[in-house]
Amino acid sequence: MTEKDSQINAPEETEEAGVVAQEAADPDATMKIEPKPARKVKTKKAEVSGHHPGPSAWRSFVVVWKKESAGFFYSPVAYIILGGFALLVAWLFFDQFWLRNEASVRPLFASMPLLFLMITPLLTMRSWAEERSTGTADQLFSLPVSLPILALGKAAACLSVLLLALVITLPYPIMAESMGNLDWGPVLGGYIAAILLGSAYVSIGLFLSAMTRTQIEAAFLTFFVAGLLYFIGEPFFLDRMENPQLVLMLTRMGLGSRFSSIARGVLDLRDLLYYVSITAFFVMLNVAVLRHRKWL
Amino acid sequence: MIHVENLTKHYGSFRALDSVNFHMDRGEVVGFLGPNGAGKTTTIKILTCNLFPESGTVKVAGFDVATDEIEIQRRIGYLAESAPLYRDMRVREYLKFMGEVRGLSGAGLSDAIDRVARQCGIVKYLPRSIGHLSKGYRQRVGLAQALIHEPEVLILDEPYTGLDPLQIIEIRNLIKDYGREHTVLLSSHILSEVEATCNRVLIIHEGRIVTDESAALLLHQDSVFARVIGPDPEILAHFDHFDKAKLIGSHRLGTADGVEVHLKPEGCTLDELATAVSAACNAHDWSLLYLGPGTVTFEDLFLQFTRKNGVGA
Repeated sequence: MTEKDSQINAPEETEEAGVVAQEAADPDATMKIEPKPARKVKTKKAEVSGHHPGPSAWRSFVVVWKKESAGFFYSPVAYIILGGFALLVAWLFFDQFWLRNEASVRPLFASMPLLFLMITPLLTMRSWAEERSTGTADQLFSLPVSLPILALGKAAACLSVLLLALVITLPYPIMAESMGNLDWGPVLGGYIAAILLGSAYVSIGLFLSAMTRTQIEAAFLTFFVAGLLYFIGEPFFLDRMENPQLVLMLTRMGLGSRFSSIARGVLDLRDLLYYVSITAFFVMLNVAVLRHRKWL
Repeated sequence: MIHVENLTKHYGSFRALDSVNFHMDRGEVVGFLGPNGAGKTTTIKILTCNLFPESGTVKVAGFDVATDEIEIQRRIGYLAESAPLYRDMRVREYLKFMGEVRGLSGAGLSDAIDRVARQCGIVKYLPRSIGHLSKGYRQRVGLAQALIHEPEVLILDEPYTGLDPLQIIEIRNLIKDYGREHTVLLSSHILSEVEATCNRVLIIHEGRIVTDESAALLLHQDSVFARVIGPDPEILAHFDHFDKAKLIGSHRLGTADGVEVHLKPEGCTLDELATAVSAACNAHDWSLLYLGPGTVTFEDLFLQFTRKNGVGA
């Protein structure tokens, strides 16, 4: 990243050279190494043991993110969630397509807040709750990784699965374009809005997963809390209200109202800030809960 | 390496640790013994920065738990109670993650995985899913993960549970070896294992360290062991109030087989005590079947230090 980093890395690279030379001299050692050359080339540090400076915060984040993301695909959970999502998305698109004979991705993006509301609790529920119930949390919190990095790594992993879900929807705008002229602006806006909303949902879900002991509790609470934050800004809820100031305030607070303006292709800095601060707020709460638990 | 001073911790109103003090140096393997709920795991959680101390000073590898969490966590290897692992992961993936998170990568990492897999006897199991392993093998994987970065301080919470006798011997030797140049703290219920592995023993009871001594010293307390045949209650009553010794253990074997008494001299030498025991038997017309040097077992010690009265039933 900076000059400082390269300076820090320099002696490590020489250390690596030393290690390689040592291995070459010892035929037994070279025999034992697994044939994974592609990965080894990428990595720089080759510390042997004892007093090493430890990985950078970024590297720790990547390690946690990788492990957590892979965790989704050890069990069928992620496949089931993504498969269900793909089915719903296909239905939304083709319903529009066959019934109205119109190739539009608008209903697809309009229902994204609800679709994400359904799948995010299932992604985040196990993150902390399972660590606590199986006892792996004890092991995890003894590792040299700070709590914010752990929380961000887990959040990034959940968000990655949501990104994968969005990738599944990519054929539809492409199809829509091949059938008529498609305005890519709102499509791009829709994807950006979905990612922003997804991060907010994920941070809420992770916080609640840290608060609960069982996955079921975590999932229901997340659905409830994130759902509440979404619904307070929705027209069907606000239509019954008289006070215009309250309506405006709730619209601004709701998780979904800003979504539609970004999805229309209008990227306002305030909307961006809104989602970023909601996410940051819940990630900080998450870290605070974990930290507090060390005092109990 | 480990320095604990006046460590106190409450869970609500329950006092889990009550001004605990101990100190450990490099090259020591220390056994941490105590009944359930005595405060072993709480102490270990504080040393591994899973819990913050309420009051007192705790330093691990020269760093304070209150200020340098990450520095400590870099230097410790920890096996939590009952080896909690990610069951969905494969052994190699798990070890890779645990190594990477501690800053190992590339050739250093794969060498480290090979090394600990060999040491812990799990080479064959590297491609297996952790969830499919037996408890003993999961325990080994847990140990492998704790050793992967060759930590200065190794902290093991009940490392022997779920292992069969053969596995226990292997792991015991591994821990002893490791302790020669590093610092190892292990908690256990299995007294004989602590005896075989550790050079020093801490016994904790109701949140207090009740004894902190070298294992050799604890086990070779000068004492006399005698087996006497005669009326049990009288023999026991006599030795319980013996003026030259303290009864530190006794066992009734049945009328035909007699009573075993274990005596610790008080204000006399071992010779004098032995003579007094034989004289007492002669005087009461009890037959003395055996009289010899006593060996204190850890069970005796445990009872001696964790019970209010030191006399075993």
